[in-house]
Amino acid sequence: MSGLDDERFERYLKGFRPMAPPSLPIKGSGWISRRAVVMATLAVAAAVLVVAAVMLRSRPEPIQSSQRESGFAAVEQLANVQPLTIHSANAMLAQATSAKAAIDSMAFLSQKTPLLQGQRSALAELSKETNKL
Amino acid sequence: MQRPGTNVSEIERLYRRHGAALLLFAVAMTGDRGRAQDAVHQVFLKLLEGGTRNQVADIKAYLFRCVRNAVLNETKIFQRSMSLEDDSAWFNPPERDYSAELNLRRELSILPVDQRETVVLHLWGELTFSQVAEILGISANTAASRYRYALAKLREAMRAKEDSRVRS
Repeated sequence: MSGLDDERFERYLKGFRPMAPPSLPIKGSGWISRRAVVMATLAVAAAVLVVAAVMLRSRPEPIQSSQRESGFAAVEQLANVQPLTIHSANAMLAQATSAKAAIDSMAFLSQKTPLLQGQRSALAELSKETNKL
Repeated sequence: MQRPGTNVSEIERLYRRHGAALLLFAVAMTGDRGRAQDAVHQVFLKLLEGGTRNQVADIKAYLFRCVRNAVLNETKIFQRSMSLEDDSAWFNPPERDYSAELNLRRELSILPVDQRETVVLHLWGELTFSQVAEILGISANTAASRYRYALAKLREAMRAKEDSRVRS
């Protein structure tokens, strides 16, 4: 290396290439992705809060005593127009003031069906019988 | 978080093109490869967040200035010493001459920091003396004289090392 002038020495030094840096943490790792994860977590938390608030607002309020009549009417109306299914029973239970009222409505559902001439209700006949215990 | 309009591929291209020289510059300032990498990454990640590079005429000089500022800010905050005792290599040496790499690193680390910065910026950063002057806040003439002075020191020191190696 002795005897090198400035130009040759510069060329010699340029032969030493700087080490390549590690890859830029754009995707996958690094604080960009950490920030993205934090933002996503916050967004999910906000969405959960909104859904919870909506569910709380849409929850049915307890029916007051003044609304009982309308509750019965609703149950009867429902019983008249639909056959009794699990779905309609659930609907009745949801709308009735109490479980007893809902069951009563279901029990007397058959009475809503008009009987043909000469037919009699089995329930009516049974009610006439005297119980022999 | 990337702002709309941030050209990620352009920034990756800048990183591939200038990353090695920027890292060398940061290592030459800090003497610590880890801190140097942090400074360089910090600059590029800020660019990804939507830095002001659109208004920058000379992006290369701007990157070096940003890295220098990042190193200086970090040093001010933590009040760390600027020792150059790091064992990790700074260069890929020609013909895998790792003893020459160690020699060069040692001699560079002995130089005063302003000369070391000038040599790295001009020689491996491939910046003109005007660009170097702008980055360091000095005149172009001062940059040129610092460079020549540093180069002469390096040459003498490395020649002496080489001679002693040949003799032994």
